Amino acid sequence: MRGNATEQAYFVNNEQNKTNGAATGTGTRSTRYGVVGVGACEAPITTELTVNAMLRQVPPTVFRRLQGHLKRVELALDDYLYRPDEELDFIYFPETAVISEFQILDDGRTIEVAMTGSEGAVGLLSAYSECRAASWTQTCAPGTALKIQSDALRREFMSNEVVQPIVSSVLCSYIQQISQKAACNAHHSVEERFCTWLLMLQDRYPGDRLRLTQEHIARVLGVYRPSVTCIAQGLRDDGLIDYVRGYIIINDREGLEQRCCGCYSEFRHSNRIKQPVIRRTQDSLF
Amino acid sequence: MSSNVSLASEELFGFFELDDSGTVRYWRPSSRTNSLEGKPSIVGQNFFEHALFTGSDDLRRHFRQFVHGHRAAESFNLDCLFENKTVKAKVLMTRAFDTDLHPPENLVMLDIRKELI
Repeated sequence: MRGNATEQAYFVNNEQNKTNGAATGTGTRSTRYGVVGVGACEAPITTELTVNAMLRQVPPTVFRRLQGHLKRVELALDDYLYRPDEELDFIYFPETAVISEFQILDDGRTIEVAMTGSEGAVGLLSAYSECRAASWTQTCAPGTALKIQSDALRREFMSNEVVQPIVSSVLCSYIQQISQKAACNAHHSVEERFCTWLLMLQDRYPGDRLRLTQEHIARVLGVYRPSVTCIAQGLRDDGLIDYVRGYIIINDREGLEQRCCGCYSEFRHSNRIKQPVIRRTQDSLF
Repeated sequence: MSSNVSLASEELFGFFELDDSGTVRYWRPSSRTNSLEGKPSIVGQNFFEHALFTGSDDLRRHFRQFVHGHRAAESFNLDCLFENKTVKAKVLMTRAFDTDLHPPENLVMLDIRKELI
């Protein structure tokens, strides 16, 4: 495996956390890497209905051929789908889950390089040919996804001219997002990136209450956790967000849009993200 | 340094990201008191050359100590004297990177808020 010692240590720590979680009955299920939530939640698709925008573009005849290969899985927060250099043997089409891809630097710092929700797919490069993961890929918001063995989609991709532009279009959006994120991570302020990231997550996970810790956000942004606390306090004082017990509540989306960087509109445009309809949480956490 | 831009008034209150020399990388005035609209930017310029109020030396001293220290965050109160008017401010300084791990990078977030009485 290509990962360095820091990556290994990071992975082991997360694995231990998961083992502990499972031992205490918090519901994390184990698979190849003790990571993907399958088992009882893994069920064959019995309907063509899915909220994944990419799969919805697939013609019904093609979808019927893929149907037997697709399985709906429940992804828990922080579940790992791939680690670097691992073969991309499955492709995931998020429905309500949101998936993040991370790079871990030699000094142990992590930074998010891509986020995918129901607009796209994860591991899609393997539709072209067998290939390996370039990043750590992890569930950022829990929910469901459809998964398919890469070779099943590859066979369809190779033989079907209707599927090829659909796959290429999603991959193109993905590359655009990665390019934009590289520029954003290098040049924009931490506060702007914080606001942009919250909006991107809410676009794909449209509740007003996001299950997030400041530690997680620090990891996404590649910064020291106290700086996230500082920014979050400022946003809370200005009434844009609130946070309690591992949740962040977005109170003023328009206010966040004024604080984010210009990359946000680029991300929305390149990934064809529509204005989310935010589900307001009725019960109070306070 | 350009100009007529100065943080000699309530424009001081806001959120700044400074490198270890005090150069402003990002500036957002406090939403309660200010708007950026129509104002020249101080991004790229030295914060302390623009912070023209009595008490700014105290702020600079805190900043230097913080930059050369190892604390992750620090907060303190500051009396800012603007043209015979003293305004009490709350200052929060936070490091964007753990400098023990990333010694070449030092980015400090400076949040200066007017204390609500």
